[in-house]
Amino acid sequence: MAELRIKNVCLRGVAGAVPETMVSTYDYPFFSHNDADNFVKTVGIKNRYIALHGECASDLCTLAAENLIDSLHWDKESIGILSFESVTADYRTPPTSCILQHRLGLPESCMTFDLPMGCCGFLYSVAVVGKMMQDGNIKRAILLIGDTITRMSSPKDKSRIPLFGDCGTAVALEYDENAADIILDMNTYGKGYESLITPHSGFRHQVTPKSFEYEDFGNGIVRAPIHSLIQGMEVLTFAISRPPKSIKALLEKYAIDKDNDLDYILIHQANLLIINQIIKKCGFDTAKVPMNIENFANLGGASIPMLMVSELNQQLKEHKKMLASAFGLGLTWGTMIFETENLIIPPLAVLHTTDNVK
Amino acid sequence: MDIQQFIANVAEQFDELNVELTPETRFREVEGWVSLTALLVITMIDDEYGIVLPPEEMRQTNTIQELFDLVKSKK
Repeated sequence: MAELRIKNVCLRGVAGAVPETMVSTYDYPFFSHNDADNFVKTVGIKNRYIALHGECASDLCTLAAENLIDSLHWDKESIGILSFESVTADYRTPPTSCILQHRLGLPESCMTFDLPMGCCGFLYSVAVVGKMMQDGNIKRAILLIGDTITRMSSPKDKSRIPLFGDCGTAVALEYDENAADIILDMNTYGKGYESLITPHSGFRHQVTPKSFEYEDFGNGIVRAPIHSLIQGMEVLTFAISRPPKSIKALLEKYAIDKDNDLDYILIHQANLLIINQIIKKCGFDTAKVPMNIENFANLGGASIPMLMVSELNQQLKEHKKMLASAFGLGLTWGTMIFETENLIIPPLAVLHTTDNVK
Repeated sequence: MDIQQFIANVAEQFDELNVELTPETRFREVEGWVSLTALLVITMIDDEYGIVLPPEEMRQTNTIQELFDLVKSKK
């Protein structure tokens, strides 16, 4: 296991933003009422916010970041790193984080970079930026994590489009010599890379007219090579096998008692079937596992920060110790154990289409 | 492992009650089988038999008996 232990870095706040359009599972033309009932019961998703009017992840993250910086009363000049974790960047080049440094009015002394890591995005962001901060030269960082995943999918792909939602989140990290260690375990199963893939638009297969030709794969799956696809069986078997092992190994190594030492377990909200299997395999008390999948769907890397915004904004005013488990694209998976106290969480913001979308 | 119990466990994954299954039933051809059913069957096998079936091996099975034999071979 690739284990990281981050010292002297503390999570200070989390904010989230969603687009204004909400779509119900019952709205999809490819689902009968009975299909929709089964989907809600099994997968657990009733509603999701979608970026219907050309909103980008950067627009949603900007709104979240502005709210967070205001709520923290941080001087923008004090922010030394801005990271943008997303697979739905504004452009192929330049990195969206550079554009956002200007848009957010951050100083030129701010280091920026993009991290396109998918569903483990929150863990990667904390791992990379946290490690960069632990020697104390950089005191503050804003980690943006967000995607407009629904814009990657074919509208006629029943196996993919209903699973996802769009949002932007912002997380604040600060150097703090009294901070409890953040512990991470990160892993990769590259052999499974085709289970979650966008076949065309990279340099392996550049965009051509063929990229837009729809093909009917049966079972309600109609898509073109430009669209992202999911192999449901492969992703499910991966997600119910590997993350529980990582969780158990990390708990055992650090002698952490899941029942007495942890206040909350934040599981990537991919699919209720997967969440429930992880809960069962690890023997977690369901009362400690907050869920927002019903109304947000799978938010990619932003899923875990959004859980804190939507489900724990009051509870996290007090000291809490939490475990986060994420898995997805790559395929990658990881576990993170961290503590927070008096976490600043402004209310969930809604980006209206009349707002300035760049 | 008991085939009758296995059949009952698979039948529970269908939305319809009283779905009639035998060892010879080609499960993907049963009315009510959708792609979600496959995910439910994988999850049931994980819960009841402690095996996570590799998808490529599961795809090669057609009848309940073949699926049962695959699970048994992994035990």
